[in-house]
Amino acid sequence: MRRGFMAGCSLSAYCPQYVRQTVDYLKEFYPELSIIQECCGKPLYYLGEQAKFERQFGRLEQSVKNCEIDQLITACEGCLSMVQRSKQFESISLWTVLAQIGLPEAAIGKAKDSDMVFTIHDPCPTRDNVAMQQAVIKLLKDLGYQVKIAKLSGEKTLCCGMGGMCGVANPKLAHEAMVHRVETLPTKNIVTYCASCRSAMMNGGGQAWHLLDLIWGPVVYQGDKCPENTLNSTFTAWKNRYKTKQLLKNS
Amino acid sequence: MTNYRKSTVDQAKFIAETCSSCRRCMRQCVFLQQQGQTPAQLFEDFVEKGDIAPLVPYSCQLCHQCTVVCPHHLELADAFLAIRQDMVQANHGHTPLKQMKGVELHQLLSRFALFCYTKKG
Repeated sequence: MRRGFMAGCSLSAYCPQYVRQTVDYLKEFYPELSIIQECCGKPLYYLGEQAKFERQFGRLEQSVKNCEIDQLITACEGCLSMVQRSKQFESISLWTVLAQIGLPEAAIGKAKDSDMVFTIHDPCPTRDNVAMQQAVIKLLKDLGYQVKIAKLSGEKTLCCGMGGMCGVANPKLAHEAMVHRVETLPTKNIVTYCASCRSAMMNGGGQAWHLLDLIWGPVVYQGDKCPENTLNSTFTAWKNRYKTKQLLKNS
Repeated sequence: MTNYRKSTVDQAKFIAETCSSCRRCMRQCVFLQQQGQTPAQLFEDFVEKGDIAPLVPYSCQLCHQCTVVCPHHLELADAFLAIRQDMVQANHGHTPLKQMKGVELHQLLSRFALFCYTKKG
């Protein structure tokens, strides 16, 4: 089976280095891995601009076809939900794949001496993807972290506040939703696997890590501060997207 | 004024008639709490007036938590999205909210070769 990898806009805007490391790791298992660095168009879908969305999604479909990809691995839950909704080609979440192939050897058990207890914020577009949610719990435990599951998680997860373009349409309400979401969680130390959710959880008053921060980055202990909220700076976000492209080009 | 599709109005009517105003959906949704109306009232108003302020459908986070907790699994997000689509249709392909222009710009930039890359493996 020929596979492709799609990091998505937000993750590329957050951490180019981790995208590159993920691609390098996936290539150890899938040497024929194709790279798709494009937007799925979900923002247009949310705006209700259906015709423009279909054009954008059509571009993505064409790229997948050109690369002869049988299965697209996505690191973004927004992209995954759009691809699965279209039913045009097979797709799977990066987290499900990582749980199957296993973490890199250096990452297994690396946090076994950490006193950190994380809770998980599941992104809302994939609330029905139980396999992926369980894969994320497994990956955190394989890293060695303790996990406290939130009552409102999995299928019942809440939106981080940015969903549906509410963050742009009604920023005040979106901020209140972010604060509310953080308040519903059993700890302020949050792990999520959507870069946009991570930014929202920080804006809502939490300390939030992306799962890739924990796989590729340093071990985290109680009291540690999470990485900077790069998505709050439009300039840094676009600079990072450019950097991600360059890093992938040279991979 | 937006000319709503029959399917959009039917969807709204179905919610207005089926919602039992149990308020389960309002427990965790900051948007519905601030609207201060149950989905039955909100969609009944929309059907009666034949219109709704654009900020209302554009404030729903389209997250579907309401559907999960609703005893009738009512799809409020789908109804709000359909209303958005009709508003866009009536506004020559653009959202009626000025603040959303940034999203269109973001999407335009996302197509620039500077940020896109495809490599067949």
